[in-house]
Amino acid sequence: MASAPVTGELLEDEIDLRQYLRVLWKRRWLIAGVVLAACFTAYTLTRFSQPIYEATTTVLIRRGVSGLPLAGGASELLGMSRPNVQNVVEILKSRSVMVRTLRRLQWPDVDLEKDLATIQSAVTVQPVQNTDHVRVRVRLPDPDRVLRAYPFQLSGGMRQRVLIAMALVNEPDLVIADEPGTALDVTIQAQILLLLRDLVERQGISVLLISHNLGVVRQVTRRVCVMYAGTIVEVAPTAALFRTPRHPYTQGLLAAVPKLTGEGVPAGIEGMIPDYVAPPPGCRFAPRCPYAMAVCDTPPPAIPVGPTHQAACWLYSSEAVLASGQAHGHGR
Amino acid sequence: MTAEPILRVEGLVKHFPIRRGFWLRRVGTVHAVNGISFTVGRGETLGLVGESGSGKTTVAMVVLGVYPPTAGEIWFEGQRIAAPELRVRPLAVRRAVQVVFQDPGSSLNPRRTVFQALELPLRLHAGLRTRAALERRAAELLEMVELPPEFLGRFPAALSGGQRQRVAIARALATGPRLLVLDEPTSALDVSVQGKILTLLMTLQRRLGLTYLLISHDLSLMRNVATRVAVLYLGRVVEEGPTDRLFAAPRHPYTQMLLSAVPVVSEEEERIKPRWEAPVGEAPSAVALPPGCVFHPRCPFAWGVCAVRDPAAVAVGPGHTVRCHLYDPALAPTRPVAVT
Repeated sequence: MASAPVTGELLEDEIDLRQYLRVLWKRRWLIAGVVLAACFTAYTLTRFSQPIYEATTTVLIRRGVSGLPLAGGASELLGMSRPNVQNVVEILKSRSVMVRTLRRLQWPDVDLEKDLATIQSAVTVQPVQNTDHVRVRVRLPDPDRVLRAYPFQLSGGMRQRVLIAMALVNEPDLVIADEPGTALDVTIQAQILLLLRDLVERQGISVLLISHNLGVVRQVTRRVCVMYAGTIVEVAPTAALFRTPRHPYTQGLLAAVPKLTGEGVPAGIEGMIPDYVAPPPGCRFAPRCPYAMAVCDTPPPAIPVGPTHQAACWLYSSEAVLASGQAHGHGR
Repeated sequence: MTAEPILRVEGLVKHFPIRRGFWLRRVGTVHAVNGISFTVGRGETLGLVGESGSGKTTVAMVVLGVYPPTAGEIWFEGQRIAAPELRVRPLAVRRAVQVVFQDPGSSLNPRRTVFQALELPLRLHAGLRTRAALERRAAELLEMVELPPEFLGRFPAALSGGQRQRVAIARALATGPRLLVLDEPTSALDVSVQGKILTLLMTLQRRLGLTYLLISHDLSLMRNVATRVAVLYLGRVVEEGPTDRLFAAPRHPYTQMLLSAVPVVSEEEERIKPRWEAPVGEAPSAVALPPGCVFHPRCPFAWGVCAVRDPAAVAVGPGHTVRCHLYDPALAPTRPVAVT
């Protein structure tokens, strides 16, 4: 320690320069380390002309998965998730040396530079300059205003059209439409669905439509898979399904929909969906089925009931029906 | 139909100011309801149909007393219950007019058991005090909605959508109402459950002599549940009439457009839908209403007068009125298109 102890009297006086220098000399290595660290930081910061967010902005357009936000690129940049090929290319293109160094340190098993050519040839990444598709294909009304607007400035129908445009940006072969009309008014829903159907017919895009609204399904689709509790219970061309539904669940569903023809309040389907933790063995609809038989305790296969029409129901297997005698009431 | 309707809405207008900025200056107005009048007879179900922006929920809120009207009056059982200057609604009226909301997941307090949800209205409005009386009455209410008394101790999260809505109905019935406002009561439920809730509502209506004001965008539902239907567009009733007549012969172009857009599940239904070109455009915002007839920008039959004058209600059948220049006999000479 310093030869002169730091006492109360000394602190109240002016600081003695010699004392002060002596203290500094005592800590010279600590001070040298701090100064060195400061220089290093300053040096690396000056090399960083545009920091991290440049790398993230380049990870905007990704083939086949347009519309996903920056979050994907950001998490990979932070090393929180395994990079996918596109992101790797983008990060490499970034001018930031620091970032490239970080990447090598974090993914030692990925030899980025060597595989760059392979990676780049496998992926074509182009920023979207051409907005023709939103104007022409999706027929977005007032496209200039819409393209510049934030979502909250657009109506529900317009937002839905924007989502459709986003899905089509990279010319996919398949569009999955999950309840596309549910949040919309009937008249807007009709327009959106016509648009979807038009896209399928004119542009040959396949659409997998998920919906709970039977009327929508009937209007837009060509084939239907009816699902219940995680199983497919019936598959048929749309017209056939609505004209002659075979599976008891499909029949129940159609009967449960109120009709414009005014037949009164529909009855609904008795019972509740099964417990997914302990589902019924065999046919999952059996506890609610008015035609359940003993054999329904085993899972029914998909039985053809028409040229392209199948139902997963023991009622359509003549052997099973004969074996259990008459079908009887609800459940067992 | 008895003499005095249980509910009479006259010239109802409700505008909401839009305020922006630090000083909350008024920068615009949302014209949610612009002159709506209708009556509901005792024991009837009046359906209010319209898309978003039509004002149907706002009408319900004013009937319930959530907002005071900007103009117009509402009469309930011969008593004036809503007017711009009336701020407080008598307790007796509040008990008599209750509501069932669309989403039971949010209309039921998730941190209250079924019993606690029913307890509050029973304490406040039925005046019950002892635990025994409350439990007894709560169990009776559950029985009315076909739920077993064991549900009293459950939280909404443990119930299915249909069960929750039944609890919401029981809660509405706890005060002994005579008029029930049903705001999209089945929209949030699965198809297979909707029918059961509707059947329950119909049964309750018969048993308890209730009157319903049913709000929905679902025309197929209206067709089977409502006795009379009023079609709303941008805060006005464009057509009103008995259900079967309105659906069999819709007069107003908007009603026809609405019906043509309904997705149906059978060919018989397709055949009775009006023939219509694909619906065009979207309803404009309620902030800037079109001049003249509010529907004229989207109407394929619109002509000169439609952009200038708001049509008056014209009778086109017993109890069936339309607000459209096409049906005004005085304007027939100027009409360019024939009406079927």
